Amino acid sequence: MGAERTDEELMLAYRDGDADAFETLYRRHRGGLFRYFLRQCGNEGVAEELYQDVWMKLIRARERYAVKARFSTYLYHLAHNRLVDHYRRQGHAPPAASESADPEAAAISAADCDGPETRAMRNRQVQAILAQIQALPEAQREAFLLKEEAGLSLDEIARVTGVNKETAKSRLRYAVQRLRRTLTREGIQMI
Amino acid sequence: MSSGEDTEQGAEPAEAVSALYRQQAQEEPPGRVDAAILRQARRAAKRRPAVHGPFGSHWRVPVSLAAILLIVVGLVRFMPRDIHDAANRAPEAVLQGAGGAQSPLAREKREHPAGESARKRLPEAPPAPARQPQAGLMEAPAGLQSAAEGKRPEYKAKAGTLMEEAAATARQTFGRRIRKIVKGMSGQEVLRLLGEPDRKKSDVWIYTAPKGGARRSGPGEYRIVFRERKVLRVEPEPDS
Repeated sequence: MGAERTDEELMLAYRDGDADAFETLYRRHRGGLFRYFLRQCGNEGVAEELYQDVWMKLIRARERYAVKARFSTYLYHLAHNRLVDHYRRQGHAPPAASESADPEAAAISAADCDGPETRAMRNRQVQAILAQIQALPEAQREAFLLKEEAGLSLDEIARVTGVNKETAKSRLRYAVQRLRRTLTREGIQMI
Repeated sequence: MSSGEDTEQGAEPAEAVSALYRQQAQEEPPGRVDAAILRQARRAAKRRPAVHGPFGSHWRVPVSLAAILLIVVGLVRFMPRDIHDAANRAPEAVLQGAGGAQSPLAREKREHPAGESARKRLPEAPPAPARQPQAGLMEAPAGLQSAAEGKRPEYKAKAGTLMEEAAATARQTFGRRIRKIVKGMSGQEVLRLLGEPDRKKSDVWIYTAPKGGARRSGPGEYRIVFRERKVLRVEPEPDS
């Protein structure tokens, strides 16, 4: 096997009937997309449902797939639309705090080799950052997650969320500033 | 994030927050969700291999329409002249044959047939002499003649097929014209226009059912179907 295939190549291969290509593609994006929904909804059950819907939509639309942008942009565009649809059905009520995202589990899995003190500190960091992300205004939170979880550029974030680049840029800047300010205030050490 | 745009938004704070976030972001979807999605993806991939020819799915409809248009234009363009004329005459022939005394179109056609009026206007041409082999002209060699004789049935068969195709096209043309003419008419209006079909003269027979029932006027190629005293559709006679 030569160089690793790009996401777009994998999706084209899946479009043409290669199920293994889909599996590779899925493994690459499963974590990021799931966390995007989890942070946005704050409810694991809802996040699972939306996450599954997006992949199913992608599967159903595979025959129409053509490379017009990066695959990540395409995937998160579907995700953004699904989320907007979800909010609309809910009467636009993004949750105030995470209900069942398990920060402790995340902290343990991230640092299961650390000692008890380090683990406790990490646990505190996890809870703090997740709470602060949850407290961000919805648009800023989405811009932040699209950057962190999907690795999208400002142009791509703007395209996915349907705003211009300047708006996307200011959302992201405000999100980062706010997170940094509040985390520092709470005594979380920035690296 | 490796984009160069990071520098635009204050790289240091962004990187610091980003690094902190990435350390914590470990949640993943449950295995059962993974399994369900992958199972669905495999099933979908098996179901129908995607076909992507030189024309993508977006072009399928326009290309089909263009192909149909080409075929129709080709048929009309290369249709033998006699058949083409027959197709053009067909609706009026029906009006005549159906005893349409009230139809101005039919009356005009009956009183002044195109061929007759043209013939009246022009002086009588002397009858063409029968073609006979002229003495002095070189005759075809006997071998060549017999070869031509041998091929004649093949040509006849081909000509027969072509004539059948052309006649089918003519019938379709006629059907379209009739549909246009009678669309939205009541049964009485259709009868007034077409009259009762004449079994002896008309080569096209029509079902009429002005009161919603089915009254067969005779064997034919088309029938007019009524509903609530209005023409619903004109369709080819199934037996024809």
